[in-house]
Parts: sequence; C-alpha cells; structure tokens
Amino acid sequence: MVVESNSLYLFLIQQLLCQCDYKVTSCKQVQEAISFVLENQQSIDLIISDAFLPSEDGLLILETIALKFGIPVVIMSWNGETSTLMKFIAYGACDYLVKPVTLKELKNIWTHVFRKQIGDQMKYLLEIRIKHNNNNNNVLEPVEETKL
Amino acid sequence: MERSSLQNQAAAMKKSFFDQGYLDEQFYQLEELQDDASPNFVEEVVALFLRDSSRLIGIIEQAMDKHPQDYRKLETYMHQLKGSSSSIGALKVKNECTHFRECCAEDNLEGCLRSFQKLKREHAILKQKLEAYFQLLKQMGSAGKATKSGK
Repeated sequence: MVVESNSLYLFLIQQLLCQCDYKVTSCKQVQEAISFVLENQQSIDLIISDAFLPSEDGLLILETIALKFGIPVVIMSWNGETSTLMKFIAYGACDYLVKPVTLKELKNIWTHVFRKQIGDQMKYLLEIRIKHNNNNNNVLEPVEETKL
Repeated sequence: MERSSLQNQAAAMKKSFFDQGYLDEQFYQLEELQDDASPNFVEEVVALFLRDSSRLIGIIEQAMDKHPQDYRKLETYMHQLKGSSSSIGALKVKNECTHFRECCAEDNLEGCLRSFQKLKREHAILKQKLEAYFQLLKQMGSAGKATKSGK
C-alpha cells in the first residue's frame, strides 16, 4: 500500500512499484489508509507512506499499524534530515527513503517483508521450543535443525 | 522529415534542457520507467505535472493577492509545487520554489513577489520547451513507423 497526497508523485511511485512487480493499493490520506488496513489486514504485506511533514501524520501509521499489526512500514519524504529520519525509525519505520525514490531502492524493499516473515517464523519456532522445554521440566534437548 | 534527422533534433533539444539546467537526473529516472507496457509514460507524467503546477500557480497567485499574507499557507502550496517539480526533474522551477519558501519563512513579501514572478517565467519557459519536445517525438513516431527507435 502506498500513502501519498501528491497525485503526481503517487502516479510516479505506482509506476515504479509496478515495474518491480508489486501489487499496489493507494491512498492519499493517512486516515483513509488506516481504515483500509483495519478492514483488510491480511491483504497488505508492506506500507510505503509519505512522512506527511510538517504535521508528521506518517507517525500515526507507525503507531496504529506498524506496532499493532506488525506490517512493515517504509517512510518516504523530501526531507532528508537525520533528525527527522531517526524520529521515524524510532517510531517503528523499517526504512526511510529520501525522495525522489529510485527504482533500485524500491526493488530492495521486499527484503523488509521477507525479513519480517522470517522473523515471524523464527519466533514461532522459538515458542514451540520453549513449550517443549517446559513440558520436559527444563531439560534442554537439542532442537533439530529446521530448513527454512 | 527524415526520422533520423528528427531523432537528432530531439536528442539535441533534450541535451540542451540538461545543459541549460531546466532538467536534472530525475528526468532520466522517468525515462527508465517507460517501456512497452507504458509507452507514453514520460509524456503522461509531464502532462500531469504541467496541469498540476499550472493549477497550483493559479491558487498561489490568488493567495498572494490577499492581505495580510498567509505565509504558512503559501509555504504549503509551494511545498506541493516543489514536490511535483522534483518528481519530474524540473530543476529551475524546483530551485525557485525553494527560494520562495525561504522568503516566506522570513515573511519577506518583496522577496516572495519577485520570486513568484521568476517562478511563473521559469514554468512558462519549461512548459514551452517540453511541449515542443513531445511534439517532435510525436512527429518522429509518425515518420518512419517501420524503424524501431534506438535508445
């Protein structure tokens, strides 16, 4: 999902993403995006959103979606200042791209989704292992190597 | 007109845009996105930009006439215009947007007025140049349909 209020830039980003073979849903406003994700959680793998400076509405997406549903959020902005970047990363953005975003940068974005999926799988396996260990009265047994 | 001579003309025209600072590398990014699936992508984006920017300039013009000036609003409009200009690599227009915003930040009415006049001029020149360029590309398209254009 792309969240961007400038129609021209939205058009451009959509084209960039289609070239990378991503399926794109777009919203022009933060509230619209949040409502959509709340109703269609399963269908969104990644959100690419403008920071919406100076109001910083992009932070809302991080607070309501990234933290709550664990969907990776990449922020983009014309503002390349380190302080702004760090703020958004601190709020949970998994990446911060300075506009204009290049095709190369967008092609690499899938790694965030992949990393999250791997992370989820690892967490799941870890939970199983802990449960398994607890059932055996804390005796640590070697866990079989699982192929991912 | 022969296709190759049109091609040379178009190439020279495009080169002049870069040499004279009207466009920057972002324009190349647009061209890279054009392919068989979107054969008119660059023209579409430029058309969108010209429409969008003309509209914004009109809005800003009206806002400038109001007294007292709402500099924060003007800054917001200029921010949008700057974003659009940067998207297509319209360098001179983008730079003038930055200058205008600096004048807004200082509540400098004189500066804003001067900058805005310059911006309108740059925008008009760019519009003229880009329209001429795409007109030429269209002519190329109709001349010699058998030959595939080389990049």
